[in-house]
Amino acid sequence: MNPNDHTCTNLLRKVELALDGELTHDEEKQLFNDLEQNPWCFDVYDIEKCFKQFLTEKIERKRIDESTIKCIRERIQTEGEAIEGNR
Amino acid sequence: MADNRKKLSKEKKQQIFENEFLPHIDALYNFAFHLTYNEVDANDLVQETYLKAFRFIESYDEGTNAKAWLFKILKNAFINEYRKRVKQPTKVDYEEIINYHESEEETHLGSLDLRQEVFQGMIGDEVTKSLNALPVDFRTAVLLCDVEGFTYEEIAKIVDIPIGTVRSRLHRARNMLKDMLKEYAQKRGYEDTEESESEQENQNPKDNESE
Repeated sequence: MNPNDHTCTNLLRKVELALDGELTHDEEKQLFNDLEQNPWCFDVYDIEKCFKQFLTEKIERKRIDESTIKCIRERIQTEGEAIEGNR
Repeated sequence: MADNRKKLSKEKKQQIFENEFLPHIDALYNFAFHLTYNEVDANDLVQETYLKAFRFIESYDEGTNAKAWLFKILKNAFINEYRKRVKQPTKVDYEEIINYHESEEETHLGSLDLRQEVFQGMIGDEVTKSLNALPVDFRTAVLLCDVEGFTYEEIAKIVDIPIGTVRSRLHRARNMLKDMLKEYAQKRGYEDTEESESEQENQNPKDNESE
């Protein structure tokens, strides 16, 4: 299948939506039926799935310091008391 | 204008804060870090977000989507205050980016095969570096969708843009990332199968004719 083929291009647009969980159950079912008839597109689905998983797993995830959480709690406490005092 | 805020007791506010807001603090910090590239600024941004959330806690509907609500506050704080404070340029030449990426939009699909070994060995640093090189609005789309798992509808609300724009920003951001990662991988010996196939076709036109 040629990637520039009109049908294939439409299918591939839906692939991204499917992988992002943006298709309904019926739309997804229809997409898979269509993909099965287009092996090139099915391969692209596999590659795109792999890319999304790759981003999710490889992008660095930072964790906040406990000291910042403590500082936020203290500021909230002070602010809460000030609000109560003004009531 | 009508004030829809409820009156909550101090204890109730603390309870919502601890049970619904604080569990998302690492996700917010991670988002703030990728927006600012700086741990101190990210800390400030998160503190500011939580203080604002507490001040407006009576506008929050208990048991609803606290994570999306907090992300929206953080995004607004970043735009309104952080960018002003550090005097960073806020404008990106979108025309240039959009024109470039629209012209190549279809050819990116499937052109980067991450199943190959070179990508599996790629460490997070290289991926994060590529992500941080994206313009902030495109980076935001990837972080909210691929890292935090928000739906397009939630992203649209957090960033204040139509769902169609979320979709196109994600598509373009991923294409940009593929370009950057491909360039990196090529330096490590990755060979693009599509490119090498087309090179072969050009070198051996007769072989292809006979097929």
